Amino acid sequence: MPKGRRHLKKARERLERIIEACEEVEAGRLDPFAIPVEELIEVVRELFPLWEEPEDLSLDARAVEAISSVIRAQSEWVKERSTRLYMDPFLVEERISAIEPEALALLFLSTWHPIVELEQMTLLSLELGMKYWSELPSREKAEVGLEELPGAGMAIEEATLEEERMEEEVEALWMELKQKAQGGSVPYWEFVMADTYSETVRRAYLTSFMVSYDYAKLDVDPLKGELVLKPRRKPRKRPKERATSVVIPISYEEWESHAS
Amino acid sequence: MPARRGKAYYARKVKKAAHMLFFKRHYRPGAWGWELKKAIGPDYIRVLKVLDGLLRPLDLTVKQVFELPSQEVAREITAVPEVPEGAEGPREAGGSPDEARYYVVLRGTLEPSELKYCGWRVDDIAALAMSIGLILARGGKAPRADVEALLKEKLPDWRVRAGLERFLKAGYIGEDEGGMLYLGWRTLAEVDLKALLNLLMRYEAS
Repeated sequence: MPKGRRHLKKARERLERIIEACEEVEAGRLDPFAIPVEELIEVVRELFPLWEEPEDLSLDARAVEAISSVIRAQSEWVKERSTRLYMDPFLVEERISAIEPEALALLFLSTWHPIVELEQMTLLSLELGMKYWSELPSREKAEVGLEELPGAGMAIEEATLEEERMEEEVEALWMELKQKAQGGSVPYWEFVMADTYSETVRRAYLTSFMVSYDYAKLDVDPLKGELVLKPRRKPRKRPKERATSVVIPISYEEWESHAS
Repeated sequence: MPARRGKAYYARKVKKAAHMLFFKRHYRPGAWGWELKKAIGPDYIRVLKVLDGLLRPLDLTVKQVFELPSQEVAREITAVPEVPEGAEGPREAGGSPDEARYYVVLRGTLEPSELKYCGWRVDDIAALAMSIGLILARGGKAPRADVEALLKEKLPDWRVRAGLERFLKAGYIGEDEGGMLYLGWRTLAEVDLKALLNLLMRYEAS
């Protein structure tokens, strides 16, 4: 990379770091006075002659705006303390650190009015419980019912794979996904669907581990609005994105609707 | 509708209110105002007052709590608004009583010797007071790492971790996705935050 471009890249990174720090203040995670505003303005001024591209000028404007939000937060801080009889947070923190735990516990006790709550089993609750129990179908019957479903032969033992076998199976599925995706993505249902319901559930089960272990990413295709799987080149040890859970129901009816 | 209600009328409703406030539903004790209104009727506030009177000799009281966001609570607690002469006192938090949650709490306070009956050690209570104090001082939200660092100054690591988990589980503090701790519903219901801060500020080591 030529020296000039490298210099520009570094300059952009500096601006991005400034914006991030200012956003931390706005989110309330950083004290507004922890930001050296004058120094940051100096940096922005120093970097300004480098910018020629509209993207860079926009980044510069964002940095100036972010710094101004810090100044606004500082001014609100001062205004609040000057117009109200404020209990200084720094003083409170100092106090908490200085007081011995026993003394602090005694202070707390004099301001603590615990909630009074009861937990008790009554005759009526027991009677209701017994009634419910007598009407609850036995598990034997429920399992037989499931077996009777066409293709619903997935036994619990099949789902609880041993750890090593599970890893092998997840990796095999990941290879299959990589082949199918060919650098892109594959619709979720297209990937997990199999000839039988039990095999589809097994693939969905393994796919959930594949996503959890970061072998692949589950996303939504913004154009079609459907779930898609994107294989990663190699599994990441530490996911960068914030983890979220997606519940995908896979009932027999769901399977049938995708199969047809 | 008769203007004056008979004793039996209120006795039935007071019993119902006591059941609703004392027993936990889902994971929290107490009840929302709108729940009490639905179960007891529009005069539920009056019923709660009767219940409160009955609980007084037992050193218990019915408490109304408006669950404001932690940062708003901290702002109300740490700032003492100036009241111009002739103006009314500070605005009461919250709005309609139906939006508040009602609990039965101890009217007085516990003696240090009573703590062990409640399953609390004195250092647990100190850690809870420190956590609440720091969160209040930081305006209603404080990074978990900062709270842990403060507690570790005086308590062993394992006790800090166990303590924070206990406070989170009990609802004394909450934690958001960004790892920031805030005041939980139980703190708002049980702790006189303003009094706690005043005591902290006035405390002088002997």
